[in-house]
This record gives sequence, structure tokens and C-alpha cells, in this order.
Amino acid sequence: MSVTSSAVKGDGNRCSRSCYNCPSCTSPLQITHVSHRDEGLLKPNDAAGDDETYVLQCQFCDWSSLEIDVRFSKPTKITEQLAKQQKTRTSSTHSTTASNQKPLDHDEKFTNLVSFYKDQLNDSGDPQNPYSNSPHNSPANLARIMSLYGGLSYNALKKTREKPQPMREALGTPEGFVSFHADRSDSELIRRSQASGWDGTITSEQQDSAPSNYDSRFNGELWPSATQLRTKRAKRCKTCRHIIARPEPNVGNMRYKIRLLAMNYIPRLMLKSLHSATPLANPAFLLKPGMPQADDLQPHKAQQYILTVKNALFETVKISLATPATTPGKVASRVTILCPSFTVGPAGEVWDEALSASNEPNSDGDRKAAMASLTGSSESSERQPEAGKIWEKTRNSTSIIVEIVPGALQPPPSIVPKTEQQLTDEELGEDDDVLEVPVYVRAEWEAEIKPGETVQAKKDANAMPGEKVSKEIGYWVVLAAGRIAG
Amino acid sequence: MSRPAGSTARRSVKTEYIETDTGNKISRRAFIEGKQNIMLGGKTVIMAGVHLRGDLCRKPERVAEGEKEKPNTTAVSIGRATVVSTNTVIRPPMRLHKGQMTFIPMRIGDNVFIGPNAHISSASISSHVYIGENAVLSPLCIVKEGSKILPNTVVPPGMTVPAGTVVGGRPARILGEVGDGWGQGGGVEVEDWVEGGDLRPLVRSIK
Amino acid sequence: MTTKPDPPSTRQSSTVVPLVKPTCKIHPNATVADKAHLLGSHTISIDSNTIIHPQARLNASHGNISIGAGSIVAEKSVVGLSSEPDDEDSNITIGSDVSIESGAVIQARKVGDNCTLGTNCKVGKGVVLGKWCTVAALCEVGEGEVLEDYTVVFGEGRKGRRVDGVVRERREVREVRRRGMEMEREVLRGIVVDSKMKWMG
Repeated sequence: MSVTSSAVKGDGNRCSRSCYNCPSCTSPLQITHVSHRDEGLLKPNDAAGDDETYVLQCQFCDWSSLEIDVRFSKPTKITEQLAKQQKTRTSSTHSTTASNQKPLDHDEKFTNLVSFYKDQLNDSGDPQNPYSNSPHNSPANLARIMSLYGGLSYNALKKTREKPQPMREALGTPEGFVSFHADRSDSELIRRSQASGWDGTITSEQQDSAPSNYDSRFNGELWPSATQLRTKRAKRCKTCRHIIARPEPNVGNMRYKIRLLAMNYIPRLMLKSLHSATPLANPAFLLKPGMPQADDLQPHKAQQYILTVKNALFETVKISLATPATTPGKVASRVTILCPSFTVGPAGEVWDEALSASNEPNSDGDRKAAMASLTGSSESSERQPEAGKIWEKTRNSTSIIVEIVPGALQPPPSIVPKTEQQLTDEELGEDDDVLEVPVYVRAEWEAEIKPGETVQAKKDANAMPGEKVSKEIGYWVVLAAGRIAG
Repeated sequence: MSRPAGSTARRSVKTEYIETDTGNKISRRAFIEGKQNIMLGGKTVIMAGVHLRGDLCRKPERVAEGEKEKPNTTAVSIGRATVVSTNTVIRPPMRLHKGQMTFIPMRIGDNVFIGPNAHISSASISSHVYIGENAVLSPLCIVKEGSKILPNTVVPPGMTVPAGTVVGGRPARILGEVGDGWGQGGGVEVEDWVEGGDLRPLVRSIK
Repeated sequence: MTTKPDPPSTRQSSTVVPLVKPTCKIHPNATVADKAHLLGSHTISIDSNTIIHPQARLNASHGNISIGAGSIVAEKSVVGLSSEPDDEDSNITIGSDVSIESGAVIQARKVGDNCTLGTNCKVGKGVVLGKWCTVAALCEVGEGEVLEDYTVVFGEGRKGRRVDGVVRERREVREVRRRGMEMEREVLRGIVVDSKMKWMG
């Protein structure tokens, strides 16, 4: 369902139809039919009677609007019905408690306040602002209203009371003025808290779920929160204003049309273990249930990895890699790139790749592996990685060796007793044991300027089409090797 | 572990998967009920220990197993190049329809990756969806195209996961959007498959 | 381009049938699927109208299991102790109208009537659940916990639990649920093929 942006503003970015979320656990609420009669429960919708009632029910945590004693007479226009019930509820408590401050909810206060200041502005005739004829819409007025909101200090209040000006502050509840009152007896609240205990109160997250819940304190005071709407945005490049991604016009489909993808322009890195036979697959994914999980990395045990850099461009690219000697984070692992700079061949057309793949079904590495398995001796395990040497090279990818020594999860025991602060610092959070290596990749290549292409860099501004220009790109990537065994 | 005992008994002689004419690969150790009500789109993988409840279909009258009455009642239909990993349960949801409880057919799109040990009871799952391990998709939830469900997520009943979003948590909330170009760039090689992308290389590698 | 899968390995799964058959007391109205697994050497009793789905496992290796009337045990769920109990009381009693959903692992000592045990949830050893309890999907109830009636477990810790006052106070809500369960059973009875004779033997 789509809503226009103007309507969205009016409704506070929330659905104004019948979509509600559970205030207790945020999952969507469903309209369930409950009948008061003992028979005919759960009967079809067409058999409507007078005793038909519907409730909002959460299917996940079993919260239902009966918790706040709210029922609906029809399964449509829930927002309207809910608002009506909320209003009657607040006004009834209003009359019974006779304290006219508390029961107003936020929406009401806000509307009161807004209408009050609008009236004020109208009445005052706005002598301070001679520049504008329409007092409501000028930014200067807006700024004044804002300052008035902020200026509800004691002095300001006193001032306004002492000498009545054409503009004055809101004073009473009908004008939207709310002051702190201790009369809804904090003792009452404290007593209730004591009675219900920690479990009876709600979390601040639940309070923030909807404006109507800001003042709620206990279970059973929560109102369902209208579902927040989602937006669709287009994205533009910061420098050239190209549309990079934009939503499809079809409303139901949230998919983006992506025009220019960085992945098609930057070299891609892949990391796999040198000594494991199987490719480093997604750890979430096991081909067979009996297959062992990818082993955790042993601390202080050097591991060698093949880092493959694949070129997506049609030019030969010079790559330089850089990495900190130890990984940042709580667990420091040592990382050494044996061959930090090398070249990668150009990428071909897609069909090139497909052709070469069909011509030689086994890539070089595969054939070697097959040979190794035939002869029983693994060639690759005999081959020693050398510093400064490229491990493997194909048409548009180059592999090098990276050596990683995982750090230990437990810090070394120290003789000096540690302070509490140190101990909490050493405590590992979730996923701190994941070994991730930040790598800075710098790629340089010579590109031909195509006719019509605008040159971004200033120094290349006078380059002519057809000429070679050197281009470079630098970015950080994070390579994840696995978890370190504890 | 709740893996049925039978799945550990491996037979080395037989292949793990039975391949159909359209390239579907179905593990011999999958637990499939009501196979006449299950449609597979081709090049789809059903791994070991998967529970497919095709017998839970819309039909109030008795349906005897192995007895073909009306072949047009489909309980589960799965698209092309979809991978259903080990120990996943796929069970069509039930709902009250015109005063009667009926199972409603479940549709799963193309190139959907369903991680191990997931539970799927959605009304529909669109194409290019990635579902992490141990995720629970409660009855009648709807998962739109190109979205990602993080591991250990519980998608509550009736929730709609919008296209291109990442959801996680119990119950699931929308945590963000998948990055631009998610699912793009998968290559022809096996290790090149990407989440949300074309799963055919992955399917090809499964033997 | 659609095709039907090849016949699944029915023969293989039948090898799962344990060597030791438990003593089964199954009510004539109950439905126990052919491919359900009833294991162990102790007694399993299943009351009327209860439905045991295929590939559900009732493991009576370490104690008796009794399941009340009108319960549903879904596929891949496991009811039974996985290891030797620590104390004497090793029996599992599940009340009536209990719904045990797929993949749930139930080792509780007692599950009260009308409980719902969600998908892939875990209920530890020695747990006692009251009436009308709900354990949501993937939630866990630790060993030895005792939950009062109408408790809903939907998250972790104490904030992930609450007592459902609505269900407690209102009969009509309970009635709706009971009725829903009944309808589900009705539908399932038409689908799950009963072969309790296999176990009664």
C-alpha cells in the first residue's frame, strides 16, 4: 500500500489504516474475531450479529487489545475506532479524577498548543514582524514560536504574567500548557511499582513504541502502535549527480533499479585457506549434515591463506595492498601479506569468460588438484609460499599468499593484579572472536578516455579523447577469516 | 541435536542426491510427505533431513498417501535454482477460510537460499531471498523479493518482509536494507555464489 | 518445467524403527502416523484425538511418556529425555490440547493443558509448565524451571516473559483457542494417515 508524502506528514509517518504493531514485542497485530456467545465462536465473517467483536491480537507474544480492554465493532478502520476509544477513555478518567492535567495525551496537548499559538498570532496582529503579511507561514514567525517553546523558563513566564502583552504564553490545559504536578501522587506510582515488581513494568523501548505510550509505566497500559511507513529513495552520486539506484515505479515492488554498480568497477578480493581441500564456503551452509564445520582458528598458529584479486576492468591493473601489522580490535592477530604489489590482467567480456570456461572446464588450479589427488601427493602442499612471489595467476585474477597468526582470546596472565576496569575491558563481546583483517587496496590503471566522457580530475582536464590517462582508486576492505578458538 | 537417527546412516554406494529430468536434486535422506503435491521448478536442491510436508494441502476430504486423486492440488511449489539446506522444515500454513480450517498452498520463488535448520511456514517467499540458519518463518508471513533474513530470526505470523530489507531478531524487525547491488556479481565458479544472487553455480556444485 | 520429485526413501526411514518397541497405550481415536518414531523401552500412552505427525519422535528410553487428549505433536519435534535423568522422576506428562510444533525439544516433567510449544523451542529437563502456557518459537525454558499458569515465554530473561491476564480472565478467548485447535485436529485427521496398529502390535 502506498501513501503520498503529503499524507505521510500529516499522519506522523505512521499507517493511518488498520496496521498496528504489538506494543509488547513489535510484531504485527492481527484482527481476530471474538464472540461473546459460547456457541458460534470463530464463525465466518458474513454471519454478522450484534455481539460481533474484534480484537487486535499479537500472534507472537499473545498480547491482545483486550489487555487494555479495547474491542472493535468492525474489522475495518481500526485507527478511527481506536482513536475514539482512546478519547472516551481519557475523558472519562478526566471527569472521575477531576484532575485536569494528567489525562491529556500527547497528541491532544500538542494540538492544543498549536491552536493556541495560532490564535495568539492571529490576535496579536503581529506588530513585531512588519515584513510579512501572512503571519502564519513566515520563517521568522516560526523561529519566534520555536523560541517561545524554548523560552518557557521561569523568568519568561513571570514576565508574561506581570505585564500582559499581546503575545502571551500558554497558561492552562485547554491552551496546551502542562506543568509538572505531583498530585497524581508519586506515592501511588511507587505503591503500584512495589506491587507489580520489575516484571510488571514496561521497558523504555516499549514506551517509545508510540506517542500514546510515553506516559505508560505498567503492563496493561500499552496501546498498540501504528505501523511506521517505509520510504523509497533514489540515490545519486555525490560528484556527478548520476542516479545510482532508484526505486521502481511500481509501488508494491520495493526493489531498486541499480544503474552503476561499484562491484563492476573495483577489483574484487577473495580469501581462502591454503591448506584446506574444500573452498571456504559460507559457514552457515553445509552440503551434508555429516560434514565437519569449518574449524575454528587456533591462536598463535600461523595460517596461510590465498588471497585472490579479480579484476573487473578491461585494463591491466596494478594493485598495492596494505594492512596493519596487527588487526585492530580486542584480539590482535598478526597479518603479513607476502606479496603486497602485483598486477592483475584485464577482464574480458562475459561471453569470453563463458567461452574459456567451456573450453577448459578445469582451470589450472583444478587440474593441479586433480593431478594431485590422482598421484596421491599434493603438489600445492609441497610448494612453499615465497615472499614477493605471486602464488597463482589467471587471465584476470592474481592470487597471493597472506599469513595470519591469530591472537589469543584470553590475555596473557599478569603478575600484577588487574583492576576492575581492566577486567571489563578484557571481556569479549559478541563476535569479538571473529578474525577480520582490514586491507587497503590501491588500484592503478591506464584508461583510455572515451569521447564524451567528462574527466573528473583537474589535472586531466586537458586530456583529449583517445589519450591514455592514469587512474587510481583506493578503498578499504575487510576480509573475514573465521572465528578464533577460545 | 534433533536430527533423526536415520540420517546418520550413510550409504557409500548410492549417491547422495537423486537428480530429476529437470535437474532437481533431492537427497535420499530428505523426508518428503505427499510428494504428489510438491512442485519443484528445476535445478532445485532438497538436502538431507529436509522435511517437506506436501501432504498438508487444501483438501477437506481424505487424501490417501500414494493414491493420486486430483493431481492439481499443490501444497508446496518451489521455483528454480532454490536451495533448501539440511534439516529444514517446510510446512504449508493453516488458516481459517470461510469458517473452515484449511492449509493454504505455499509458494517459494527462484534462487531462494534457505539455510540449515530453518522452519518455513510462510504464505509465500519471493525470488532471490536469503534465509539464514535456524530462522523461523511463522505461518502466513510473506517474504518479498531480494530480502535477507538473518540467522536465528523469528518472523512473526502474518508479517510482511518488504523487498530488499534485512530483518532479524525475535520477533523480526526491519533492521535495514540490503546494500545496493546485493546479489549481483556472482560468477560462474562455485565459490563465487553470492547471497541473494543466482544460485545456479551453487546448485551445480552440489553432488 | 515442473516436475515431481522422485520417490523419497521410504525404505530407508523405515530402518529407523527401533529394535526395542516401547509399550504403547494408544487410544482408538488417536492418530499416530506411520512414520512417527516411538522409541525406548518404557511406556508411551497417547490419549484420544491426539495426532502424532510423521517424523515426530517420542523417546521413552529413559522414562514413560503420556500425552493427553487432543494434543498435536508436529514433525521433527522430540519428546523425551535425551539422557539419564538426575532424579527419580523420569516420566513426562503432557496435558490435553497441547500443541507441540515442529522441531520443539521437550524434556519437561510436566506440560499443563492447552500449552503451545513453538517451533524449535527447547523446554529443559524437569520443567513444569502450568496450564495455557505459550513458549514462542526458538525460546528456551531452562532446566528445572517452574512456570505458572498462563505464562507466555516470548524472549530472553524476565522481560521476555509475562503472564497473559487476558487468557486468564476471559473465557471467550480461551474458547476461541480451544476451538481453533479442534478445527486443526479435524483437518489433520483427514490428512495424517493413522497407523497406530503398527505400534500397538
